[in-house]
Amino acid sequence: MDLAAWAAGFALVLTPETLLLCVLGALLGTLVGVLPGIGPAATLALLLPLTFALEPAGAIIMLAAIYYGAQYGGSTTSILLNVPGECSGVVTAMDGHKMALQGRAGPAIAVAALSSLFAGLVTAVLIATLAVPLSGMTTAIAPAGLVGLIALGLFAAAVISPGPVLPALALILIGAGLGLVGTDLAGGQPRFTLGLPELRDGIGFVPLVMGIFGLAELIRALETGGRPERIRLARWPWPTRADLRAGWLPTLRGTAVGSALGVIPGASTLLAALAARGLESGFATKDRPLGSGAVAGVAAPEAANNAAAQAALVPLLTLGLPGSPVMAVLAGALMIHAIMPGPGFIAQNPDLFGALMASLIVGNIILVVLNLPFAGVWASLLRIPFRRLVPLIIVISLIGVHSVQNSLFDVWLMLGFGVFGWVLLRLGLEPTPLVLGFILGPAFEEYLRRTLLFSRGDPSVLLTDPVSSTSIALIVGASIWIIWQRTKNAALASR
Amino acid sequence: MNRSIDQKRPEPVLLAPQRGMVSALRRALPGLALCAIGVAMFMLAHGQSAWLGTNVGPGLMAQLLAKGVIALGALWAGWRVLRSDPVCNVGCAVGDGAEAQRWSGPALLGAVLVFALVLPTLGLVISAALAAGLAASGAGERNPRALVLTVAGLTALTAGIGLAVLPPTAPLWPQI
Repeated sequence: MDLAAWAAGFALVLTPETLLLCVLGALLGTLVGVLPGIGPAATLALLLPLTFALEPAGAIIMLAAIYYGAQYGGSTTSILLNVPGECSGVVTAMDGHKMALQGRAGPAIAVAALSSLFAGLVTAVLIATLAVPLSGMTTAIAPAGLVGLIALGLFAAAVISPGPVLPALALILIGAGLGLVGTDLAGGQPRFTLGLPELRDGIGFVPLVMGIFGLAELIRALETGGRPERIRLARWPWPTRADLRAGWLPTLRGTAVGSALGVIPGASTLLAALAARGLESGFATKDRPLGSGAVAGVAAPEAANNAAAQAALVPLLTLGLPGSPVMAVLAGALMIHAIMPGPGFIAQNPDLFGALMASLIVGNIILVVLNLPFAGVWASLLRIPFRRLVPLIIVISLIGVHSVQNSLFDVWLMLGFGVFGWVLLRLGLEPTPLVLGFILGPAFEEYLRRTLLFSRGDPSVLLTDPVSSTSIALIVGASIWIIWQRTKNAALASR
Repeated sequence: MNRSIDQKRPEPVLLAPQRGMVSALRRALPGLALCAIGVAMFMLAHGQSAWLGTNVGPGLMAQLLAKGVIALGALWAGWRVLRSDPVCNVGCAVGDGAEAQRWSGPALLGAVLVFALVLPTLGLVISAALAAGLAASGAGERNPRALVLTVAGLTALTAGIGLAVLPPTAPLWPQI
């Protein structure tokens, strides 16, 4: 995209009508996305009818704004309430919620917004200039390479999860097993559904995450009295210079990781967030260690997931491959307006592409301008005594779980996962890895199947594919390093 | 006299290994629970074929995952048995805090149960109000006025969300 195309795109976006659509989309997206359980994909689907009467460019710009708003709303609930609105929020919550419990919810929300803004701006420029060559590169990654990348993501999930690595790995495998429940995509037959027709579509992410985080974690906090009844908020509700200094390098690294992984069809925003947080564990944090409320633990995954989410537009617009549920809804919205994403989209719709790129930039800025002043307002939610916040979380979680599919069965599932999560917590097992395995497991199976289909059942292709073999080497190397570190620490402790 | 002799008598030697065994078993419990989940997964996965000719069948991944869970669970149990330091889990921490709510588990789970049971007949708004009441009690709300206000506020919020955001098909009110 050259300068003239950028200028044309901005000229279209910066009209009063389009700006209004952008503001409206960002506000509505934030308001709906802040409901726990209603993630960006569900928010887009809920608000899609609002765009039916609009021109294609206006509709797409509004949908993009709704999406950023929903993403921002999801991060807010992860940080404030430890209830992730979408899957990558699980990673943000690990440090973001700790910051909130330390009275630094405002800075955490603001750091999340600023990191997302930076990643959004950089990725928009990247997509505009490199979309076509990048799409060619991403198709060069074979299914075996994706198997390796997802395995690396699963391993990173175990390493960064709270608690010891061995049970975290086991819980990731259990989560991956839960992800397999439903109709087998290859054979069309139901599997592990226990004869329940409601499980033919699989277990929903929302009841699982609400059961584990919205219910089991709340019970733990109440039973142990581990969460303060009232949280004293920091007087300055925005990030300090020290916070910004601690966050800028992780934001840069998160943006690089997210935009690299986002262009690969099938690699999710969660994988990007996990990889970014995993990468941060290799660097010294400037404020406090990762997992104890570090700014880097918020900045890196938030930058990565926003960069990955926007970079996922590359395979959608150039190859017609929606790499995530959000992109699938966006693809549907484009088709409703008689626009077919795929090869030739950019060449045939240069104005629309230019407007979309400009809207990525304008929308991200509008979102931060609208929401940054409210970081303190959102944070002040934590002033409500915990015993009054609990019924609010329970009721909003129940409404979210029931409303996504208007399904009572999902409420029963939430109850089941709440009990399961509670039992795990009483056994001293942290349930977070279960959710991460649940997201990545089915994708791993899908690409493993394709790999073995192409190689006629020969698994050695996983060792000969460069991406896969590099991932496996990283897993083996990291395992050896972890075992060596633990042994060294144990030896030092016994002296 | 006999009683005082009994009191001074040292504990039977046999009790020490028994106590050690109970402690080891307690430490191994999380790993054994993971093994049990893995066995259940394997039994479910066993009903599906792993291979269809040279192609991957619907059961392969699940069988591999189940074996992995069993192996990791056993490793974890073994590791915990060998290490003598106590496992401090949620159970250890119960009652540690000044405001610990021992009945929060049954109350919060009960809130979801009540919501699921009464939703089809009473609708979303009243079900949410009942769930809010139970959840507030489970969270330690002892002030009746605050309890009523919390329930009323959340009922209004549910009605507001239902009317403004949810599709018109959402069952908001009792089915009369």
